[in-house]
Amino acid sequence: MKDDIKAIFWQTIKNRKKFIIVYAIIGVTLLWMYLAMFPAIAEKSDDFNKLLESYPESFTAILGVEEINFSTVENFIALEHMSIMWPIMVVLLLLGLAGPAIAGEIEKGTIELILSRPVSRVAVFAGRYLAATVALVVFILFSIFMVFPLAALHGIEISAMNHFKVSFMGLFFGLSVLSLGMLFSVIFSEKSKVYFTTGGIVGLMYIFSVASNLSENVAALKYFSFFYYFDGVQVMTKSQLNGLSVLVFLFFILLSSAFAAYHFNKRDIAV
Amino acid sequence: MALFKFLMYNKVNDVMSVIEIKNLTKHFGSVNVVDDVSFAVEQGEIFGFLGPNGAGKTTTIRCMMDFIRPTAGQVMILGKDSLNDTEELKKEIGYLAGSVRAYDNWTGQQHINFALSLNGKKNIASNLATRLQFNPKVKTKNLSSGNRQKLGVILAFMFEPKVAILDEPTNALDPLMQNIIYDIIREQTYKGATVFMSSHNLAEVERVCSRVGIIRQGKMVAVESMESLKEKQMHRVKVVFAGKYDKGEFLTLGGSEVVMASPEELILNVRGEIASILRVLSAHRMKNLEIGRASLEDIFMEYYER
Repeated sequence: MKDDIKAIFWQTIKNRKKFIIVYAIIGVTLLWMYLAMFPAIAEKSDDFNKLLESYPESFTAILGVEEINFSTVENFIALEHMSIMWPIMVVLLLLGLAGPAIAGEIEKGTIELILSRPVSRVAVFAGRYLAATVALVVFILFSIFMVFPLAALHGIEISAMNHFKVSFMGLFFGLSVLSLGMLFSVIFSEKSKVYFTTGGIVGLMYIFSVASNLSENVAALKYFSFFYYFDGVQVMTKSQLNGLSVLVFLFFILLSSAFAAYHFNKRDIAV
Repeated sequence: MALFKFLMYNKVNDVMSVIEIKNLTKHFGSVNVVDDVSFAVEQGEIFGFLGPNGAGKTTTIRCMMDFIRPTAGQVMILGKDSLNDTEELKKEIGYLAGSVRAYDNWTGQQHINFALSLNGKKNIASNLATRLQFNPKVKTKNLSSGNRQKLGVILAFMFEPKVAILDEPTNALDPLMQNIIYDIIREQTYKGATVFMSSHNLAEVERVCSRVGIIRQGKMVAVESMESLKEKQMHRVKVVFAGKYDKGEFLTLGGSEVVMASPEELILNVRGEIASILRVLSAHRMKNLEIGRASLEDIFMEYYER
């Protein structure tokens, strides 16, 4: 890694370490809570499954699941955690890193402290992007991979591959959100605009995903949603990994990041 | 290639212009903030960049620092293009912003360490901190504006840059600290540095700079040495007459302007030679006559009234 990227990377990690640690703690606490609850849920799984089966189809459609049952810990985590809570946490984490990354520095004027040094704008962008990626990986490690020691602690059997696959898709989902956030961070000069715009677009994507599950007439909307490509519930419950989804995420990440780096390199920085 | 460019640059220019701005223009939408500005700063000079708020000083500086990109024109520093060689150039530039911004939760020392991680050179930060009586252990959110300015000065000069670009360097500092800053600026030029500083403090410019550029509404209206600026020979003549006088006599004299006229007293600004006005005055009985040199501010205002 180039020295300037490394310096920007460590500066960002030092500045945001409390934020990253808090998110990691929340992630692992939620996971622990679900695992601690699961043995009791599993004992009554037949009753729960009957109850859940009585729910209207639209309810399962909103959650993005074809069938609901709590017979395995993966099903339980998928429904309780991966359907909405985990993606929301990832979106909030990455918005909290993308907003201040460039737009926040311009808003505060501290970007001049950096750009008056021998460092390229692309290196600033890359250092910030890399730091947010590491924060995402830390969050995934704590909120998903900690399942291995915690499940052992509670004597719960898990399907390791499902967790690996959902982590993989979660990484691509997160990087897509990050790339979108960084794109708006280089366009705007105020971090609130980054939060508002990126959050609004991701929120709209969630609505597209739910609406496409509810009505055949708007089924095509799902293709405009990160949530459709992530599909954490299917990956966690059925260990199904869609190669096309990975390609779509990869294409979006590369395209938006390249455009963001290019735009940041060209734009005026008037603090 | 860079060495070749540098050698060619020196060969073509007998006296090396460390900073050379050619036809710099910057529009923000339809607003023309900097309009066809050209000037050069020689090695070892302290060049003052004068103008009121909104004249285009900070925009020019931001173009020099490659924070904003010119609509037209070119900025060359140390023979390199500020746009294409910005990373290389900033190893040799010390920059002080007009309003020093800092990370609130960092101490001054953390800012210094961050600069070290990007420049990676030996530095004189601790020496500067001692001279400026700056405590680097305090978080910047607890610093006064004066102490933030001191931190900005330390960050600008800590690597003993070849070129210092300073936007209002003595902002928020008391006169004692201002003197220390002037000393630091002079010392750096003795070591070969070139200093470009914007200011609207004329006393400061008069005291420190060897040459000045005056910018007005985005246009460079003059580039003068301090001596020639002072030699604009503007005098203020204050006369108390013993009897009546005709104001019209003085209005017809070329280069004079009536500042105040009462039945007995007359104050004039006189540009150029004052011999003609003395001839007219000698024909009158006077109670008192005072002739003083106009201040730099008066000279400066001349450029603004043109």
